[in-house]
Amino acid sequence: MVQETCIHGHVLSGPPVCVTGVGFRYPGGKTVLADVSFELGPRSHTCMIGPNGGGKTTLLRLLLGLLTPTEGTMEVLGAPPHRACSHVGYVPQHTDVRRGFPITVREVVLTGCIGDDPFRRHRVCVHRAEEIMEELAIVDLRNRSFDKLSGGQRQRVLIARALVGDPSLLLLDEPTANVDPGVAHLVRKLLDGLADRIGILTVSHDLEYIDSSLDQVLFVNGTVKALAPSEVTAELVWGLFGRPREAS
Amino acid sequence: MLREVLRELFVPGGVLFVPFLVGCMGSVAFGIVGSYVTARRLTSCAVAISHSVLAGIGLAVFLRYHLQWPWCTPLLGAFLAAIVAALIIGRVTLRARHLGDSVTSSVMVIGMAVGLILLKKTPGYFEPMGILFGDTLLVSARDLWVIGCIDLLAVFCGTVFYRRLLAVCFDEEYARLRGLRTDAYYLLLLVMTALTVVAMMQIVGIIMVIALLTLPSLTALLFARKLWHCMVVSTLLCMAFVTVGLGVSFPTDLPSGPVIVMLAGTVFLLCSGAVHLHRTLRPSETEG
Repeated sequence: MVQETCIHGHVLSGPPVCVTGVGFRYPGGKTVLADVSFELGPRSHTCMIGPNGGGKTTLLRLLLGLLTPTEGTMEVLGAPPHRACSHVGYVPQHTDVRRGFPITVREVVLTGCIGDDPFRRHRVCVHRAEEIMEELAIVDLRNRSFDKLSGGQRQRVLIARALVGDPSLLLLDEPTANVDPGVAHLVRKLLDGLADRIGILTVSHDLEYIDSSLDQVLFVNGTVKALAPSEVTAELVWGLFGRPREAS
Repeated sequence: MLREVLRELFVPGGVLFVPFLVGCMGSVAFGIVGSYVTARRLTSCAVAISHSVLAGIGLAVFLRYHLQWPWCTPLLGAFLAAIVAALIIGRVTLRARHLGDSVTSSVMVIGMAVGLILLKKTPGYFEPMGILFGDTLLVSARDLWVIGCIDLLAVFCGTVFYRRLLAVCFDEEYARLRGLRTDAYYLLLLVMTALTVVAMMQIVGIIMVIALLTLPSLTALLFARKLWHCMVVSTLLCMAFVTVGLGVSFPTDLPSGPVIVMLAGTVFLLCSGAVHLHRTLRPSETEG
């Protein structure tokens, strides 16, 4: 069920995400996702939205190769997800990261290089990490303890960690949750800027995240429906999905 | 009095000289492995491993007595039991996380029960109290070689795999996504914990060895910004606790293990209190 490792060294050049007829159910549990099909284009910014228990996190874990679909096919950058994960940047919710751990901002960012290429020199990673931290305006925090940062600062550090490996696709789990509106705006501007270079797929439960700068919106509630941002209204969301499904 | 204690501690041939050397050498492995254990929150696994060591000791002395196997030493039994316990706990927690706590507890109590039964069935063998709570008289110069080898292994693994272990301990899922074999590193940490626990078992005993593994690291974690800072500080603290503990226990005729652990615990509590007070009195360092 769970893929143990990521395979490195492959040059991947397919579309960021191509999902065809994917279904998933946990062993002995209910079906979480059924007949999911969608595609993400390169250099696009897509938001995945839906009610709690609708399967957003499961779909994200499938795309990361942490889970395997029980039916259908799923390709990330033209390869099965577990083969592509070294080319995919992932930003978990900052609240999921271990608290009280003795690690500095710079060290957190550098963990994004680990495993990328065993022969890649550490100095190259350090240089890239400095560039990314400069870009995300966290370079002054590099020697600060990660544990001492605010939510918004932590979120930017985790984005820097995801970017330091130069991914072709960036997956983010609720990047604006638990941060104040100012930081949420900053993170959003940052992601819009990155969307000119790489594919971005953001999970959110916040309808305010949806605006015209997005290329596509995916509604997830047991299955997936792809819409243009202009088609999305609150009434449409309730009309399409009704009450949230029970978590299974 | 002080001069006599110092002579026994630091002069070769003194009663406390070998335990002092064993303690200081073991502190290196304790500082490195203890920092990983506390940062990765493996304390409950380490407790179970240390307690299950008793099964290995009991089995070793039982076989040695009844089958006349002179090579079957308590130390060998302790190492084997600790490694077997580490691998059982590791495999179960990796394959069935929901069973992790119950299996860890079971390994601990079964290990102790088996050990005590086998020791009881070995006539004329030593009292379990020395094993449980430590006895410096059990420490020999041969232990220096064993601990030296464990130190080398801990330093090698702790430095060569530092960045990878740091990534795994900080965010295991992300490390797996970066292609690291996180399960293998998890088992490596547990086996290193097993070896380190056995190394210091004879000074502070099975019951309290875990305190000496974790308390210096927990104290260091209060101040350290980086994991390697924590390793250095906890190594120095561990050396200080062993040295002062041995020095205090000798003239007062108190058991050295409990004195060392009491010292480590007191320093940890005082430092925790001071840090908490400091944070309460000062505004939060966290910025918006």
